[in-house]
Amino acid sequence: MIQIANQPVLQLSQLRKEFREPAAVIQVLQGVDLEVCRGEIVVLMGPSGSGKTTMLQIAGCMKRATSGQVVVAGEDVSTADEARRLQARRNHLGFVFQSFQLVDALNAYQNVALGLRLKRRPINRPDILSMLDTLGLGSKVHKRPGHLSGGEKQRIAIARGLIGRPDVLLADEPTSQLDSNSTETVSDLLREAARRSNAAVLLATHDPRLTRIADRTLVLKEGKIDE
Amino acid sequence: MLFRTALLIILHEKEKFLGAVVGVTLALFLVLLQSGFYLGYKRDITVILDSIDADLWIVPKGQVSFDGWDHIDDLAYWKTKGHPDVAKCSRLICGYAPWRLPEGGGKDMVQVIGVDFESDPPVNFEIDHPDPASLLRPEGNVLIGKKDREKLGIEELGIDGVEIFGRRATAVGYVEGIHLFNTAGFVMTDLDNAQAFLNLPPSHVTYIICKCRPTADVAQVCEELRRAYPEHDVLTTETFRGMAATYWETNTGIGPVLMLSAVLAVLVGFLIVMSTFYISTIEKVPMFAGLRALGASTAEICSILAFQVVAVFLFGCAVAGVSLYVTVLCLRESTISVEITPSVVAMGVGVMIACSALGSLLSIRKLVTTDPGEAFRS
Repeated sequence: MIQIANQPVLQLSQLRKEFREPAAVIQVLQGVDLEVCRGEIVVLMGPSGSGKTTMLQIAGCMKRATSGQVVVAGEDVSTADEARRLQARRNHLGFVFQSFQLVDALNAYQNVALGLRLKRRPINRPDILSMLDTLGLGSKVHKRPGHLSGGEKQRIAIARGLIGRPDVLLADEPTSQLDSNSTETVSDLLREAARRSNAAVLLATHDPRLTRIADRTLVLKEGKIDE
Repeated sequence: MLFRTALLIILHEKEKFLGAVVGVTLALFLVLLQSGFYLGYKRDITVILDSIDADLWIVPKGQVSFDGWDHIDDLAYWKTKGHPDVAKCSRLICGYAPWRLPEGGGKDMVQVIGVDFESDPPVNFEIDHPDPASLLRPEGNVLIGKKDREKLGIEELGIDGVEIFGRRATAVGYVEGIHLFNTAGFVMTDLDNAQAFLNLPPSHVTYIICKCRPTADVAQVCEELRRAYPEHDVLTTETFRGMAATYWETNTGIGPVLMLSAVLAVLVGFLIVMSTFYISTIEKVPMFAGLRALGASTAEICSILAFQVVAVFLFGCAVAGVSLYVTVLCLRESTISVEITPSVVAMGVGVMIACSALGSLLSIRKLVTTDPGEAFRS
């Protein structure tokens, strides 16, 4: 699919999500509208329980919204079945998780290569090494996560998230487990790597220091977005 | 690459892998060993019957096992010898007697088997002498079970000094491969010596055994002999063998005990395998959720677990096999009987396949229901 530079690759329209519990119905998202363009970094802030993670899960084709529309790279996945949503994750999406979710038994190179393998992409060694090098891990290629710092682990996770050149990178609290030095390094590297990949980035965080890499900062409050 | 990932996970978590391997090894080893003990015990119950190539047995009325105390006169022997469908007919004596150990030692019980060598008996005892009939002809000469050598106090053959029921006896040779389940020593001699040792009246024996001609209908001959000797029982070897096995298994209760032990071994192994896999899976749920989020299918996630289960199973089988081989080798010269047959091995492996599959079901269920969205939360 040909993408025009400023065309949104992630569109959330009138997104609503409610969780039914025995005592009450909890409205987590109440009509969220959001568009993120290729190459754009959007930072989504908000207090705990404001629905940031739920929003990422829906945008990441992992959960269904109660109502509303989710379009990823031009494909409406709002009502897609599990197989199509899995395809959308493979073809269009990259992820960076708060707890990294790296495979401890694999080294940095293998973790990134596994990301490509799961996307059904050919494993291109020079690309992987180049990505790790961009993220400052050139000398840690053969290290396993257990031998790396939190910042280094998160950089592997970013490399894994971006290696398949996803249209959209969804990152949840990527610096919450890092010290302030690592936060600055990781956020700068995330911005640089995302720009190189020309991916749209939606980043959920509590950390106001991440707003400095944002093209736009949004606040999610009571299930609605304040720009 | 996923299998390589699964292999690397195993290598990375050696302790957990070894824990699961120990579970499979323990279960398989115990299942095979207990089954082997059970079969060895069963073999020992019928070891003498299996060493006699007879089709029909004329036995004292009401006899339920080979180890009876009753006896019959040998009139039927002379009559049966002339039956047109009987190729061989022979007399056999069986009884228990106290054995006094050499040099004034204590007493032990032995089973004395008397073989009628004059009648070309259909017996297949492994005797390390070319002419046992002449070897046993002198008064008091006996062969003993080789495994009972120590128990019967025999350090050297041909030395006097033992007594059977107060009569002097001399061990002049060995019988291989015989060990009695009831711990009595095995003694074999000819008919005259056995009658003397057991104080049987003249012309009295325990059994009359018949080998039918190849063209004969054994069932029909059996029926004819039953009609001819209503004062005795006439049994086919198969029937007698079954009766003996059932009698001792039921009376000692050892068969059910051994089988219960085998079942408990399976249960323990199953629980170890299941808990190891499940705990390991639970610990990795966030990682698996992350892989699903990144694009792994349910089948791919399950294949990682399946690879680990198969690896644990194969390693467990290999270690259990080696351990069992060594154990059986060590027991070969002892009085503990163990019989591992190909069907027992197949049964044990089949049980462990089922255990490993069942043990991983909970983990697979957990993986199938893992929400990729959990990768964001944990």
